[in-house]
Amino acid sequence: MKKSSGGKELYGMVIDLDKCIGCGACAVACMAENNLAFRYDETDKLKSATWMRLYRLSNGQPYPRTRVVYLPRPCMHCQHHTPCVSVCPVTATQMDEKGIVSQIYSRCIGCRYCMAACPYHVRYFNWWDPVFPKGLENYLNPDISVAMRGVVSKCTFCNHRYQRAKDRAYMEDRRDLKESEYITACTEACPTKAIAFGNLKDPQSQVAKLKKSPKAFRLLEKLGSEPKVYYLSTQDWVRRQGDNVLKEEVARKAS
Amino acid sequence: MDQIVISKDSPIIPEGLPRCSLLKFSLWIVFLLLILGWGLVAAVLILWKGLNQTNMNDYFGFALWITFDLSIIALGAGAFFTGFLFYIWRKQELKAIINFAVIIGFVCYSGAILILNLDIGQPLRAWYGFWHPNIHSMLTEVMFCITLYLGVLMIEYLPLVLENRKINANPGAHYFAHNLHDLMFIFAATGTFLSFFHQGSLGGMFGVMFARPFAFREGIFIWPWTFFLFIASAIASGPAFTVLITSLVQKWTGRQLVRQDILALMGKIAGRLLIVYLVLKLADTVYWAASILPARGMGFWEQYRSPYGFWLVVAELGVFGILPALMLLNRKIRMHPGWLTLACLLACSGVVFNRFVFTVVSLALPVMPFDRFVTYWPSWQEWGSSLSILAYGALIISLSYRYLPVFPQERELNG
Amino acid sequence: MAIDRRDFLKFAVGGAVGTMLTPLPWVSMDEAAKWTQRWGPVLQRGGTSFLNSVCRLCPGGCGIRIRLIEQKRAVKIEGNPNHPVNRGGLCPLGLAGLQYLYYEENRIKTPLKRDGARGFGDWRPITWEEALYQITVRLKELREKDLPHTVALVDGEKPGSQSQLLARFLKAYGSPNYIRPFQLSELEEIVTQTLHGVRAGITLDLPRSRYILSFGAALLDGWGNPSWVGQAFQEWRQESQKAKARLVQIEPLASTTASMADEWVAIRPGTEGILALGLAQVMIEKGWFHKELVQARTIGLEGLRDLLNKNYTPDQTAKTTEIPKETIEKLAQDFSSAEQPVALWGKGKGELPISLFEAQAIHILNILAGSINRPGGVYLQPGFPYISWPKLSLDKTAEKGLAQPRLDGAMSPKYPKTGNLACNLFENAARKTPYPVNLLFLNEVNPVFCLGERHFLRALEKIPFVVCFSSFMDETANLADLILPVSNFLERWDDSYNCQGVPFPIYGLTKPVFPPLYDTKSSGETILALAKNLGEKVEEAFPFEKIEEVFKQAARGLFNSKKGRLTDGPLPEAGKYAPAHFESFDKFWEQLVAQGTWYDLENKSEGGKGKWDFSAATLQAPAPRPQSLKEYPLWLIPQSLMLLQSGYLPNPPFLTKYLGEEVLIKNTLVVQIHPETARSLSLSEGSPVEIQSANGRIKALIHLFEGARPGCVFVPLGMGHKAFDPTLKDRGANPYPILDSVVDPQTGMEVAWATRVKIVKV
Repeated sequence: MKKSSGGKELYGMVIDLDKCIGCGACAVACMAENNLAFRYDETDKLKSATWMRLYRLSNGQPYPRTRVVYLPRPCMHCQHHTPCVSVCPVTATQMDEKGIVSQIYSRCIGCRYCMAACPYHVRYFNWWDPVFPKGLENYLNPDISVAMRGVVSKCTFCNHRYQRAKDRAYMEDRRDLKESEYITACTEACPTKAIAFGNLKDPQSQVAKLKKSPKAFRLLEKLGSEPKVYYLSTQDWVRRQGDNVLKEEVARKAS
Repeated sequence: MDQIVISKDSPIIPEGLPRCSLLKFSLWIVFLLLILGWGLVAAVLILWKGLNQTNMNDYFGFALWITFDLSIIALGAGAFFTGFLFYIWRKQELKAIINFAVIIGFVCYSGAILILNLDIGQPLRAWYGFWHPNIHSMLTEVMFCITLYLGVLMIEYLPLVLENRKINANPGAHYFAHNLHDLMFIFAATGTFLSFFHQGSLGGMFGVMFARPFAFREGIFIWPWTFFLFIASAIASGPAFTVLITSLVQKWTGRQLVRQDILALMGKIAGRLLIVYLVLKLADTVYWAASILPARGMGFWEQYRSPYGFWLVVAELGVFGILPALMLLNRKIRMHPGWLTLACLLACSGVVFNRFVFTVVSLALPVMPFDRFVTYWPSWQEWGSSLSILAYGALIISLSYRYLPVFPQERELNG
Repeated sequence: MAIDRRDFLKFAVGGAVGTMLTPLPWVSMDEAAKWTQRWGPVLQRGGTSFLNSVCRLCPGGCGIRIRLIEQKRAVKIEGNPNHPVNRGGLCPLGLAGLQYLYYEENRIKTPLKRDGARGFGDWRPITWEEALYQITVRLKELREKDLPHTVALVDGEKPGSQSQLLARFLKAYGSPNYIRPFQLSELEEIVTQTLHGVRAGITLDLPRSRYILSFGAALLDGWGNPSWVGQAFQEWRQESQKAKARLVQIEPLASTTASMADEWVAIRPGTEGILALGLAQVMIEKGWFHKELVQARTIGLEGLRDLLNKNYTPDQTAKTTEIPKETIEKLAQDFSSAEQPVALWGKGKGELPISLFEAQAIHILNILAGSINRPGGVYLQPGFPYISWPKLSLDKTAEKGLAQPRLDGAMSPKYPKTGNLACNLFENAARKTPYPVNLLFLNEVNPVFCLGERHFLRALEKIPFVVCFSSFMDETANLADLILPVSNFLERWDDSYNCQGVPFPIYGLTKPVFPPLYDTKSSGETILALAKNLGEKVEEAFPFEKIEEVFKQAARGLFNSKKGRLTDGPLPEAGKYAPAHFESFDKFWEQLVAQGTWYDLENKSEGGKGKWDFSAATLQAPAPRPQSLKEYPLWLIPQSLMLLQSGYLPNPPFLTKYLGEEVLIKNTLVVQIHPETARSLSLSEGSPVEIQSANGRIKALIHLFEGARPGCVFVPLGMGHKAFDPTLKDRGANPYPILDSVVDPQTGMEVAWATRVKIVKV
């Protein structure tokens, strides 16, 4: 059981920003899937837990050359020296053998060191008790516990859906999952199919092919954290906003 | 203040030492208790309702409290370092101040741990750090070391408490205290070991955050340069803080408690260490600006945005760094109580600035280019709890000064 | 024995040390930590199952799968991967659908009768029998008095059997006043009737379009059917396509659509129709049109050419639209030379009418490009012809009632082609012309929010009895006399005829996932019950024992057509589509209930029998209301957002949570203006302001956005409710009431896409 998939799987995501229309379906699907609560006023985006967050990027050009692009940002599930995992003092967050960075709510002491360490702001602290207005507790997904107040929560690539897919495969007497048998809730919901999800180690998988595209880039690649979320964009200004580029480098590239 | 006042509590005041009237003392204590009360209300709210009572947010996960903790832990380094110099290095002159250094250390560490318990989202799980430790985390090291070191400080403080006139009358207590004194070098050594590590690990906590280029530093083996920088700045500012507080108590009580040359000696030690630290820190800053930042696509000047602008660097390393270091290296200034106090104040402020920059500015700076820069101002609950720790420190120091024989030279200096 | 202080200390210290040696402190530490682990809600576990159904939150009719726990608790709505429209994806509204079902605070749980004055919220729960009795008595009385026509029903239900039931009921009862609120399809039918001579809906083969010229349609912000547009957008961005699609957005704001488009043409607000005719002028003048088709199918080209040459030359058009002449000529060239081009109209999500002039002008482009009934273009689809209802026989009273003119003035000599003019209903009811309204039914509509309270209150004074079918205690329900709580779409039988904008026939069947959570009924069930109570001919019009039979009747029509297939497997590959065969109707019904959707990829489109007549088009833009530019120097432009519902449905909390800081900050609405415009008014980011029009004022905060056209203020539609839960109530401002409309002389619709306003700092 332990070694059933060891080494064969490494899950990652490719998000095509040319196809993303910023509709928010991924975010809503995520909140519905992962039992995220809401508060009556969520306009303070510094305290609003949105595992899948939509950033609105602007090219900053004057009218009428202004353009905005949406960048959905799940957890990057950094592969190399995962910034959050190494700092957690109580082993509440770990990366499993299939590359998913998890968070154990019942273990977390809420020190927020992981939040400080993550440059992508994918980690959210539960500032309040998760209150579900009367009736809404009915739609809670039994596969994933509700994060209590005082702990950190984050995107888990819908790890519980992996378990569900595995259980189904087991019932059918299979050990390996087929492509797209396990996908995250956001991938599934996306009406423009801008999100692809799958096993990066399987050369035949869609994500493995897409990540090789010349349009592909990752957020803050220079940090060396090896995110497993890739973005695609044909627009130069979008790609430039994906990483910090020094002025000299821009000049050098231009020349 | 020189006349001997007969107070109701004089039987427990060390023999022959004049102290202010019980009424005056009580009023002072009531004032402190009021501040403590504010902190208590804040603490109850925070424990009951959670950290939404603070102005922290998902961008500012570390804020006033962490700055406060890091600062007082650095300043509390006077205890272990004086202990190290006295018990291990055998600098006998420091016997005059070692007791007080221990008390200050105890106050700083216990205060920091109290604040830490508020600061974590799940205080009831605080002990998980021991039960489910992640040995790779610098914070685990910090948790282990400061908790254990607080134990050491308590043991170091205990004989002093037992020397209270009334308690010491008990032969058991007397015997116990006496023997503890003889064993103290063992605890001093343990304390030194623990302190070196957690002071370093506090720096390491920030230095290892490789995804936060503002804080990240390379280093030796698992220790980033900040590990060593934090040790250096702590052992430089710790003695300065001990001198600063001693000077304040002397000013307050109007009594000479420690010979000026001993305070000056502490100042000299602080000054020399500060120079060492500053040289290292400047080298570190240059390397960071020239190598670490560009490799991550960042410019030096981008790191300083209003209100956390470049003035912070000027203040931290210049006004509160080089200036006090030079002052402390000058014998004349050292021997002048006022100037010495000022120099120590500047040096201590320098370390506070440094800790502020590492905690708050590190987090304020967005790493993703399209992300926003946010600033933060603490809520009254955060101020209250932090200030009440200062009041708590003042309370412990006041009680200790009044009822315990803290300063061995006091009687002799005040003839 | 006296205990002195020393003894006490010894006891305390000893006690403390002793306690530390017992397990007590350690066990309590552990227990305390375990207690913190139970702080969240306890989850009810159980076996998972999925149920296929169809979303009824918009006319899109997407296929959904509902995840159930122990078959009694719905925990998630997902897209049905086998559905030909949404293919597994789903819009955020559909995904948040369970928040409508379970959010108790928003739902009405039992029939309510008003006590005390209207609008004071003094409600008394009553039984269904009593509620139906009260209505029946009134209905019978009006029939006896030969006043059945004074009953009106405003029906916000999406196209399907339920709305058919409601319309049929009014007809059988004897009232011509079955009125639907504005929908883009209303205009579509007028456009096709005038230009093509056939009343049909306009559907779009968007995924195959290769050049999309959108005149302000918020394509990527919820226009039409979001899933269908989403799927098309994905196709347009597919690199493997032979011809890469090009999306051109004509709009004054750098909206999502404008930003994601291949080209954004920044236009002066309100001149879209003029631009369209300007393009048509270039196309005709240069001969860049589909000559075969135009020659074969149209008449009136000469007249059109003359008119265009007179008023819509590139120079003239450039002047009015403020788009460079070269751009106009290039657009005309690109559009006409593109493979499978299509021009789209209906600004925003299509929630507000545009002028017939504009719709026709843009549709003319489609005709000139030969995009009618062609892959990648516009398909004219005549309703949903598969379902036949039993013949309706009317009694005398009904015949007399139906002979009366409609209250809203639709289908009158003045506006013969307009089917519904809900906005006029309330005005006429207030004036009691042509006759008073004695009983008003409102089904899933919220005119108080969408039209403005004053408007509705004036009418209300003259209407003795208002019955509201609604799931929610919204602004309108709060003013009613009797509320009949409607079951959520997951608790009722329902269906959808076609998916809005999709060019092939689809039938979606929605079934109850479980019995209603509260004492609610679908409006269809209520109508059946009322019909039974009324008896005679009205009862005979509804030969259905149970509501399911209505849908079985629809299914029988599908089965008998011997066409189509069900969503019981993956979608057929291109060119491999074949209808499915079913042994018996029972088998078909069983499968339809299980799968939820029937569809037929063989498109049936309507071309009309006669010639398409250009001369039927209106080529004169309606004059804007004369207003002092000095007093109101700015344009207010309502902005549609995907994450913000602006009609009957309240925004679900998950969507409201996600609104950006450019929409809402705390409880205040945010509006976007250009930094230049802000500077001229000495406003800065976050300035609190009041936006004033001739009709009223709203409060807002300023957000500076480079992409907003100077001189305009962009106001999101959908916030500013005075009802619902705290995520919506008293948050933001509702711009509907301050919109200033112009009555389109052709259709009678109130066109309100740009309103003159001024901004006052507060």
